[in-house]
Amino acid sequence: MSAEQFLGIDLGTTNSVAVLLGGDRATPVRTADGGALLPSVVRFDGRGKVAVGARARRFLDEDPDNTRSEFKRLMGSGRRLAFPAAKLEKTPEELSALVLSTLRTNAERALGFAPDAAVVTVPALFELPQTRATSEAARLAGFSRVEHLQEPVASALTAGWNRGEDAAPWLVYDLGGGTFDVSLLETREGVLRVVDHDGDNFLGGRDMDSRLLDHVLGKLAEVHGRAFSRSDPAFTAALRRLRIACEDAKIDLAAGDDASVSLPDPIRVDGDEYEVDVPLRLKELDALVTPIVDRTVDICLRLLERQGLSPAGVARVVLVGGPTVMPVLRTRLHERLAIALALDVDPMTAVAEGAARFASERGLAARVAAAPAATAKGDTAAVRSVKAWLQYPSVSGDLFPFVVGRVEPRSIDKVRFEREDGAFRSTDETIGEDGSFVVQLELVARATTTFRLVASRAGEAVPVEPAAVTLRHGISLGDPLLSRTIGIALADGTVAVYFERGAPLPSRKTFRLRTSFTAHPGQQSSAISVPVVQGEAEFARLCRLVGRIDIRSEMLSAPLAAGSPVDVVLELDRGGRLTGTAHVPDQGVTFPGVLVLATPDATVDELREQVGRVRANVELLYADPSIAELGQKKLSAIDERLLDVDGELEAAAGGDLDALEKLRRLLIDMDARVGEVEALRTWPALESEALRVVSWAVHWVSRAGSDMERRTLEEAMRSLERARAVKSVSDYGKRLRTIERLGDAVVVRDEDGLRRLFDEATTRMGEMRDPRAGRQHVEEGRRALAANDTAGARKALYAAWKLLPPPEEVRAKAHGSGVER
Amino acid sequence: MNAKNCFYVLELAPDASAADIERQGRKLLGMLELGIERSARYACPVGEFARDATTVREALARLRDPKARLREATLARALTGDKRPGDDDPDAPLRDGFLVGGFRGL
Repeated sequence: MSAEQFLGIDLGTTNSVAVLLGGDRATPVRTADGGALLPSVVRFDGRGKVAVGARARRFLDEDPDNTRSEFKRLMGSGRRLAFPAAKLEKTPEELSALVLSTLRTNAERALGFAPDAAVVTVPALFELPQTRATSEAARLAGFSRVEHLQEPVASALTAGWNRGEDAAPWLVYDLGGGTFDVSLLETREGVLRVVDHDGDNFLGGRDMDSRLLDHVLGKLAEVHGRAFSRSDPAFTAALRRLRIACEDAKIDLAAGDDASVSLPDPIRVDGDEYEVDVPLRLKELDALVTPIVDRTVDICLRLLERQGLSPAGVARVVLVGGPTVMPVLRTRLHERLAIALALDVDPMTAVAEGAARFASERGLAARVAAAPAATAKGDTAAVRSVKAWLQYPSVSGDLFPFVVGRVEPRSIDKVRFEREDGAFRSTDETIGEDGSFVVQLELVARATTTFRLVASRAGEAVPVEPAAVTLRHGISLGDPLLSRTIGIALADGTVAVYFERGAPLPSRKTFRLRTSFTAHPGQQSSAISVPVVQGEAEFARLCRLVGRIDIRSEMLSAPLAAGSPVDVVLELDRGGRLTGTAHVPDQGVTFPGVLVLATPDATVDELREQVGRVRANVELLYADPSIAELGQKKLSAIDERLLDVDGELEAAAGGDLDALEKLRRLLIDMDARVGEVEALRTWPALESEALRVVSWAVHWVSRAGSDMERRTLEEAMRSLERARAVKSVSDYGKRLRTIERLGDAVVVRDEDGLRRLFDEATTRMGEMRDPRAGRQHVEEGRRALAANDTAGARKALYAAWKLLPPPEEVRAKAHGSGVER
Repeated sequence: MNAKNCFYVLELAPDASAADIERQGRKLLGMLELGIERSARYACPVGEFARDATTVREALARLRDPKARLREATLARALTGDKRPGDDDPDAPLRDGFLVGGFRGL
């Protein structure tokens, strides 16, 4: 058993948990009061002294102005939270750092040293600024190495750890304080795979509390004969106390049928005092909570449907997160899904335990050793004679994994591994010319196995380090998958997708793009912007802007003409942190770094106006006969979400920053949904376009395409038909473009095709950025064609085509992008 | 033409088992991490190409999805024997690019 310890942290909205893993044993890190949960609450008193966790939570009631909770939802928002007594302001990252630092100190007590490295989980649907903010918080807390893992993957790793393989896939249902994630997983041949996941970034236990709070406010209004509005700033402090009382009543109802929401002292509003003692029955709570549970079930069903599964095809559901202990939730899940619940996983510590297991798999020990340890993946060790660099999985689902190695100096000629129980000895592998070797091992099933590394030269044993390696047979995790598509917004309003949703991390991609206008050195206005966007929508304006690379004019040595190449590299690490560069080869300049933006700020009034616009738009769409039945369904879903928006708007107006942030994100989501419905108006036009594109592609592919291109076209047309059947505008558009690209690839190989394209370029000469250059290219191309030089003709055609700029209004909607394909 | 077919990238036959795929992927990632030169290129019926950790990870992730695996296996079989066009064929990159990108969207 390894003596190394691995630290996993679940940085939660309501509570945070740390778990240490030593060997196979996972142990929650105890907080100062002996529990496993550390409330994610921070308080600064008048002397600037900080309290974190349970000690701070007690002050949510007494000193709400100087006590902050639920700041996780504000991560990456750029907001500053005030602590007036201490005259301090802190960012959500700084507050999260205090929570992480407390967990680190608690872990230090258990370990005897301060841990340097940990895996910190993030919600699956966290966007890049939020993930980046979590990294920053960990750095501030004193961790020198941190990796991130998505929460559902972490809980899945815990749930799958001690089980054999299931014949059927299973679900991890993770309802946290502020987010809901559901993942469909399967274990095959020892590898745990996240088949797909879904969720709602705006749905959590807090929404249940809000419903209960509204219910209590209604009752108080009846008793006291006045309205208590969440939007009244004078009521903010009282609301905080009521929230806590609601939470307590909810806990009481886990054990009985009756409870009461009561406070020892009356609340004060506008100088008046009001007693609070509202009886609450379990049935009332159930009725309040059930619609939220139903929304989570709908998301589960949507996920299963997407994978062509019914609930009957799922082996079990693993529950994770505090709210999942509510009996009504479990009953409702059983009623609607009828899938067995797995009750052997602690919903409160599963995420942190999975994070610790992931740290172990990654060889990310809590203490970053000065010299690498012998059991970690990627070992290196120096000895006087021979040192070996080894690569092997520290946890392997495969009983026969490979160890890859390299020795230096190449002073040995053979290596082999011997299992410590003596029951296995690998073949003697010859060291290659480059010092490398590959050896296959045989592990003991579901156990930790140590192998001695034996090196020799001309039959003589030679000491080598590391002298042994340790591998564990168990569930291993495939690479974490990206939860949202990332790409570059292009000047024509579309997106150049770099990493698709579901892409394995880490990943790195380079695309050659082109500038869409000329930039001059020294002119501020001519900087070329390369916006990085995240989201599933086809159009850049419906995706979230998460970063930007600016090609700054002052760095240019000469004018950069429109159409100049720009090599844009984006790189995502395992935790979804993004970096990137833009290289301008013509001038040999590289513009480093992607600035991950804080989420844009907006006032309550601005958001209220935006809500009004969305509502008006929805009304118009309802009345639009071109939005058929499918559109009506989508509008009903938007209507439902508008109810949430109203609640959050009210809370935001009362000074609830968390609600303000949630509202802002809800509105981005609503915008995209309304956009989808609006797009249905373009359906008839899209169908006409489809007719044109398909007949054009069929003509050219059948005339000049290869067999494979014909087969590809057939498949693409089947996909198009499927998108048509469900009237998915974005899918239909994407398929259509695939067909168009196929036609493009073929038509330019055909002389007649080229001739027609030159004719079209001639008619659009007036639109070109440089009509004179356009004319030259067209003439040059026609000459090449006459000389049977189709390659030259193609080159000229592409050059002419690149002179057609995207319209300015389109570029504005593309986050000001200055690049195109 | 699809030089980036996952079975080509991993240098495996289309009927390789899931365990073979994982094992081979891990082995290649280890070799790439250690800078072992022969792992940085792979040969397939349409030529020899560069390989890096991202390509291997993507191939692994893709082959873990049964539907994608079926598609890759079908293509690998269908394309075996296809010749890579000569360097004088300027459309080759365009077609390769289309097929690599295009199939993802299908």
